[in-house]
Amino acid sequence: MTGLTFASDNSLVWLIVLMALITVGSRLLGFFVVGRSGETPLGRALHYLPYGLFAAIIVTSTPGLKGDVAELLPVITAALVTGWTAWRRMPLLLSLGLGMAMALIFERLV
Amino acid sequence: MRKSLGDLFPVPYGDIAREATPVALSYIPIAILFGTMAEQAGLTFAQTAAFSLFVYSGAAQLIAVQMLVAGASHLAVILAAGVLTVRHVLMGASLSLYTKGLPKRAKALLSPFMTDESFALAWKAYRTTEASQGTAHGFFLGTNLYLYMAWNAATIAGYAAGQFISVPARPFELLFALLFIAILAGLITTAREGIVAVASLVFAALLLTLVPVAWLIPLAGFAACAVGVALERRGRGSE
Repeated sequence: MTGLTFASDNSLVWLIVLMALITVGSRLLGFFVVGRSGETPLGRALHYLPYGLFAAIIVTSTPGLKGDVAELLPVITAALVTGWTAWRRMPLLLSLGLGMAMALIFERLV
Repeated sequence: MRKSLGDLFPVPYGDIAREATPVALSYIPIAILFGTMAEQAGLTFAQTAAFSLFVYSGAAQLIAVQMLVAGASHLAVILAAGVLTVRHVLMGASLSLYTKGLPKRAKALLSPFMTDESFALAWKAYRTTEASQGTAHGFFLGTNLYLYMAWNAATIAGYAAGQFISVPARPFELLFALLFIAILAGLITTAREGIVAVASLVFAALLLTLVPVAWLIPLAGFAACAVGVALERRGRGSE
């Protein structure tokens, strides 16, 4: 962190307001407007959109993805364990805990 | 029969405690991370609390702080938030099949607090509760509020802690990535969805060094749509 100061930045208030309108609006929109688009071609295409968005967020937020493969081993192991347990519908906390534990164990071993 | 807010009750507190507590606990480190990052980025307490109270989106909040620190424009931050929250339109549309009988004000109470995790829990509750939907509306409402309170309390704790400690970023970065991996894996119910998810991960990884992050997210989204639709057409063609 660079320790920037936003305390006197009034535009940040507008940023928060606009972001709130977007996040709340997107939640309201689905309940009130989009309700019956599920079987249209656009609805079918949009069904797959979250998979791409989540995949991109995962790739961009995974630490060290551009680094050495050996250093990535704990991260890849954690990702596989978390992904598999979540896919098997295990509780979220358990999936995260197992993934983090695997990362710690592999970091010690590698 | 006149519809009212009473349709949202009763609230099954026991079910909520059992199902949503693990999710609430998983929110705590992420919210603490956000509070700590915001404090260390120079946001005031009021600004940090306002983010969690009004924006209430972990991914959007974390990316907003990261982008602000990196010097991104507010417009870029808003666009990123918009891209990140598109999924909530789809989630709302999915749940609207179950909430279409509710009055508008009841839907207005339910929807603003929906998160990825509360959507998943509510979807399960609506599908497994009796045809009358019994306590599913109350479960959705209670889960939303429970998670909202957990997120905001942990944000404040993180902001307070950020003044005294330097949180090691790497474990929290990994936890953030794992949270989305768990959500993505939990969404997969068919082989086609699994292929789309894996293809999207490969596509995003290949583009990681080629395009800015702000473009990578929508591009991966469009790629997922294209792959999904192509697989559906191929599936129909071979039938």
